[in-house]
Amino acid sequence: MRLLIFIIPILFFACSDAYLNIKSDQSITTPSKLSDYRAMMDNSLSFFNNGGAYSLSMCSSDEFYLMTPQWQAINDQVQRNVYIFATDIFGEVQSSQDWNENYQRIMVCNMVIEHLEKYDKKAEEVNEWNEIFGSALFFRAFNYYQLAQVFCPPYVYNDNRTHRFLGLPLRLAYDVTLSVERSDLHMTYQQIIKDLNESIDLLPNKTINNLRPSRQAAYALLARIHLLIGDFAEAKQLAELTLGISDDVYDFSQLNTSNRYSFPTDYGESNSEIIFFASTGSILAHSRVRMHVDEELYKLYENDDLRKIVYYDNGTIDNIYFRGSLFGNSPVFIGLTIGEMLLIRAECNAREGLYDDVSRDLSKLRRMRFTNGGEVSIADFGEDPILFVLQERRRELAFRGLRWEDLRRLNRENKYAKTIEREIQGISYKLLPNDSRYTFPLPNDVVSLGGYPQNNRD
Amino acid sequence: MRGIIILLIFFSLHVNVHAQTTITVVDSITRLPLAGVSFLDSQNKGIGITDAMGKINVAKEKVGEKWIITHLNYKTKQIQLTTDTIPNVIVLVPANNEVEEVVVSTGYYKLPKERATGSFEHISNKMLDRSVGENLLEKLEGLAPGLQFVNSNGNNSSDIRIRGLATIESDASPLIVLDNFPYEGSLSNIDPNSIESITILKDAAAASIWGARAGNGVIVLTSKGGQKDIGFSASAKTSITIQKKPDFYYGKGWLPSKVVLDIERENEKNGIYGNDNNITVPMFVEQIRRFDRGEIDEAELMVYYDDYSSIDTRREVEKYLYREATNKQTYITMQGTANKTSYRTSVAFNEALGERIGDSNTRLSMGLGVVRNLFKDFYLDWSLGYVSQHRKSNGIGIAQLDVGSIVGISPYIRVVDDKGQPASVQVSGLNYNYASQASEQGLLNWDYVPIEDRDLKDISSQSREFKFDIQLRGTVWKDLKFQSGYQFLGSNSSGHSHYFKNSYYVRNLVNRFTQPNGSLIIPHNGVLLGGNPTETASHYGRIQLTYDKETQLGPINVLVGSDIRHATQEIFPGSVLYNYDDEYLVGTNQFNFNQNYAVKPVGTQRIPNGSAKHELLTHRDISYYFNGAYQMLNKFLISSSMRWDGSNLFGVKANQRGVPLWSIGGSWLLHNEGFFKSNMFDLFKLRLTYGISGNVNKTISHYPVVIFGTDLTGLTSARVASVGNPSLRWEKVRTVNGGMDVGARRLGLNISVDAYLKNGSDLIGPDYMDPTTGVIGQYKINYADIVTRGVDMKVRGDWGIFRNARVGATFNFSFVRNEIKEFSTNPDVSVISYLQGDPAPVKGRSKDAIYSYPTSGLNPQNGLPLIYIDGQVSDRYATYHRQFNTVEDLKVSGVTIPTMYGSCMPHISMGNLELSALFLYKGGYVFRRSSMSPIGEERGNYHDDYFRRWVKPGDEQTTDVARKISLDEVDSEIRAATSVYEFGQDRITDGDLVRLQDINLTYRIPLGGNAKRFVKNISVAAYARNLGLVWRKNNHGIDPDFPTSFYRTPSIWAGAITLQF
Repeated sequence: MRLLIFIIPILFFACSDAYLNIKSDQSITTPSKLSDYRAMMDNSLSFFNNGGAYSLSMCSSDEFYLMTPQWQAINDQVQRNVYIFATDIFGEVQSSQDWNENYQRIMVCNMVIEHLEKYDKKAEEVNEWNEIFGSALFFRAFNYYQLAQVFCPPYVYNDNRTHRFLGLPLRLAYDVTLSVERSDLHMTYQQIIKDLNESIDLLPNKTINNLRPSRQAAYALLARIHLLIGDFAEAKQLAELTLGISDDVYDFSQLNTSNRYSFPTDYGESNSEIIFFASTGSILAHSRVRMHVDEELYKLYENDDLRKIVYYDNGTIDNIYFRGSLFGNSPVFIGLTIGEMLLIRAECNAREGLYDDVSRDLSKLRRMRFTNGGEVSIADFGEDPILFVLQERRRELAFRGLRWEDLRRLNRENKYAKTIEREIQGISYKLLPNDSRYTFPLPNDVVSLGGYPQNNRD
Repeated sequence: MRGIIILLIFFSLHVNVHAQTTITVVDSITRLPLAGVSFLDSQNKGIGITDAMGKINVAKEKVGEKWIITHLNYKTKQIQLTTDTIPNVIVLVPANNEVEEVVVSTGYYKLPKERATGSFEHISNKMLDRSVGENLLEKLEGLAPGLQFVNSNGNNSSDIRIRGLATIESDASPLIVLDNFPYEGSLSNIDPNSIESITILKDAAAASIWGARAGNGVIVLTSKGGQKDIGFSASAKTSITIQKKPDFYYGKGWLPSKVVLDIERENEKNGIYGNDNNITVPMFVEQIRRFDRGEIDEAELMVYYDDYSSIDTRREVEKYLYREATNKQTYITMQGTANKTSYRTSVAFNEALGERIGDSNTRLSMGLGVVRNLFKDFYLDWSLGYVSQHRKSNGIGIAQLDVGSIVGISPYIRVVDDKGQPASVQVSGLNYNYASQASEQGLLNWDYVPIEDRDLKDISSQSREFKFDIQLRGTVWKDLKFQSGYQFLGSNSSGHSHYFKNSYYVRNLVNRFTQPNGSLIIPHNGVLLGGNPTETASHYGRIQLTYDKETQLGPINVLVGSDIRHATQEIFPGSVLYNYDDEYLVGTNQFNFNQNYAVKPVGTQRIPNGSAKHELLTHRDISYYFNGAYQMLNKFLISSSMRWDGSNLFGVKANQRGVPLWSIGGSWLLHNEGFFKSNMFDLFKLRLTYGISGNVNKTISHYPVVIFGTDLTGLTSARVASVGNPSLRWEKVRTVNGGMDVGARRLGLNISVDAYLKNGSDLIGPDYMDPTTGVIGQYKINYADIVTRGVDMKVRGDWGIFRNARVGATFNFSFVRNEIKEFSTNPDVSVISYLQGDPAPVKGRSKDAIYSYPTSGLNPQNGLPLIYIDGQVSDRYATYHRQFNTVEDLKVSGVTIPTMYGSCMPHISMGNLELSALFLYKGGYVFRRSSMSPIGEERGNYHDDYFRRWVKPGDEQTTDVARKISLDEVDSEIRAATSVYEFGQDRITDGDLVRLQDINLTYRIPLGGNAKRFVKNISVAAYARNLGLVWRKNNHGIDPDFPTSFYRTPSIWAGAITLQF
């Protein structure tokens, strides 16, 4: 009897951890099953595939211009500042969506990655686990890649100086209490490339919809990144791998251009050219009541180029504005397409002097951009076949957020470098090639709450 | 001393010689001899009665093994004696004297208050019985220093603060412990008669044995249980309480009908009221519109005007909708001992009729408690308790006559027409004129007749609670005892609203859903709505070992134990039945609840469905605790407690970290020191304690939380709603308490003073994270800090003035202040939100701070608040407002919770008659009073200040009420003066007050010889409560406890009879 009295409490409470490890509220769903993580990664159109770090760069790039009254009408101090290349773009404004939302997506990726690493998967779950894990790696890389184009200086592969440049804070664990310092630029790109390479091994060639990242999407994004860091050989190879999976080009002559927006709003379902579908909110300056498309860009289109009507229309203030987002509405398409891959391969081939290959790829694309013809041959290239490809690239990839990266990378080559000029209230503003203002400052709250060193823009 | 011993020896010799002994019986306090004290032997046979000198001669042969000494007004005493230990003086303690030894209970152990180091407040059964009422908690107001009612007359633990605040964002309610375990049922389920005593644990030494839940103080309720008693006893108590009708003329937010009619006519001229079928406009405006349409002539309109002018809604409401609320209570209890078992049973029945006609509540409580001696000193205690409550809420009060925007509560509503028939009134969101034509439109009658409708529905709720306790205790080995207990508390509650066929609810629903083609969607029959039934079940287990040993230096008491708890609460979905027939209990719910139907007068709506909410909450805790006390040389007391808590509210990190919560305390009994030679004090004790207890925030999860939905692609998607906080942990409350207890019996004085400092740290607060973490905006973490300082004081005096008469008083006084030491305030919160509603906490300020614009007086030029911009008098009010960029720019006008409060309870007793009263004091706080807004007319907000408005220059000398801003003043700068006026510091009003809370008069009926055989004791009591203010600092006629209410809690008058058998 007496013995029992001492033993009971020990038995009673011995496994207290197990006893306490029960949910306090049944409706709290703490992700624990594979289907929970799948659902988290499928939060696509309101989270992962919607939004990106483009509002600053799109506002600063040279695809459009504004007149003073429309500039004044922009109800966003930061976007007004960015347009005129101000050194201090944020002023009193504390935070930036470009930073916040991308890091929010990165946090969810980290949460899924960390939970999946601990997940005890059964044999029949391996494929599912791989795809979810690969998705999380892909999206983490996709978001870091976008941030690096805005908040880090341009990166050049094989350039040792990049170790001295500031990269991004690389958060790779979801514990929000950990603090992480800014990495160097080289590390930032190495992490992006590493995540994508790993995801290639895990993702299936194609996924059930193009909102879920596939192996093809990972190849395509890697191709884009290698092009922008100047690794043309690798970029070409990756573009080839991408196109090896599929290379359909969408026929623009099928489109009904009488609608306000040219493309159907079906998240790319009917457009087999889309490898990966993602979009971000349009900036205020791009509204049809404000924007004037850059005259130099508009002049690049031949009269029978379908893109001239598919992409552009008359606005409300005697202007021509862009309306051709593959989203089929105002959000900007920032995803990956076969067209872009053909252009990457063409540019790499042009740089290698393989002009026949260039004309083959450009013709394949252009055939679907003209009602009749559109094919090009070496004779059409003129003095500089590379410039010809770059012009085709401007025509095809207008208003996809890619122009900013192109400006940054092409500034390295004097031939293609460009000075952007603006005029507002009679004052002209210039952004010279390789200007430090090609790298935006970190938002104020990020610096004050995170204690990171600020980018130098003076 | 030596003399007494010699005397004793002499007496014992005397006894031996004469075989008889003389004993004197005296009062324990006055030391006066007591006449009429009965001496009984163990067979309850009389030995004798003391004479006028308090003496009794007891024959030697009558000296048995046990004497029972009884007197009506004194506690019965039993003396176990052998022949050689006969005392010559026997001291009896008055039955109703508080100077008796007070035993406090922590829920884990009991100890005499004199041996405590911590700060305890004990509320005796006598004090609880003093007031008559159905709710337990409301009886406590004013009875203990440090116990503050944030809401006067409240009966929830959230209405109470014990020693101010120790948290910012978490629950600040004290822990309620009932019969050794935390009680999480409804406090309205506790019958006050069943409670023996209450102990309030205020400092760390008292409370930290409750560990993670003790941070806000603990209120320990001890039920009347089975007692080892002599023979059989029973008592019955019955009381009746009558509450006066509310005084609707108290509220300031009112203007006479005639004034309102003129305002309404003006408003209608200006097109303030809309003209749609879903808009309620004042009745007089309806008549004006009839006049405009040519339906009535000017003379008829004037008849309406004169008629409406003569109506006062308040009079109508008082006469037809309210009544004197009554409450009848009966409580019967029996107890006794048979063989080795003592038992106690009780039944309480409470029947209350609410102040609104149609409201009622009944409560039946039953209890059985048994203590059984198994063998040696092994006992099995068990008890059962059952409470059932049934509430009906069919009443219609003044608040239900509010029809919302611009109209509000019209001052000229008739609920009974001039022929004495129930009249129809307006409802919100439905034009009266439109509704009155319903029958012509082929719809059902759409009139709302409050007095009839009261009987056409049955809105009721019921709850049941079942409690079972069992405890086994005994000695394991010498001084080592064990105790193991289990408690089950289960309850369920549910409610339903049954609307009869002809009720307004049904007719309104049928009419609204009548389709344009005349087809009915809702059948014209009864509707039964079922609320969300709720079930709770909690299981507690406890195992405890105690070691009590008398050493040569003094006693040692140690206890160790462990608690385990598993509690669930499940809320089930609600239901709805249409076409309901209560005779056969049939109805239907076969409707398409997803379809939007066209409804009258406008819009579309779905058919109301039952609530789909289903929730299951589980709460698990494990605790280990230790408490030790040591008394040395009768002079020093040392105590310590320690506790470890684990909970499923926290993650493994917090649970494994296992920082124990603890306390340590000491006290020094100066009166036992040799150097402290004073005949004055029989108690002089100094106390000092320090410790840490905790508090829990149940609203935050340490888990990441995702919410499921469906993406546009049709796939299941999940959104991360919260990243979770793996390092979430308990809030910590450190308390240091210094105290002094002085007792001078000879002077009839008892004084206790405590000074304390509470520091709530690791408090949950919003943190603004580096957005790089992925957390945007607030993230709740443990970092905030609040400090509360205070003093509690209690002075008790009690003096005999002549033989049977005593006077005395108890004074309680408390001072308390809090300051937020660490808190991140969101800089994006607009300044106006600090003025409206509950302001967000601000570092360096009190949690209870109230803010205002630093404007004073009126501008003599424009009759609006006097403001300065850049040192110049200005009328740019919007510009003025924009100058306030942060909360730092606003004026802190004080705090809204009293920083000083106390009570005084004088009492006088004369023989069997006893009179006492309780006065409450509150001070050091302010409130924002309402006034007539400059744009009040167009909003339908009326106030008595209307008559004191500024009209012409010079008026600012005599009034602080701003002028009217008329509709044609469209300048937004001027219109912004409204909020500057409303939130100006002139509206801040001192709250200080003294209230006469209650009076009690008790008479114990003296019983003659024969009656005494049947009834031991009869007492009758008269009691009155809420007797109004004795003094208030403000001269606006506002009772600061009811600054914006229509009426105050009316006074209560009660009578009670108690019989003891």
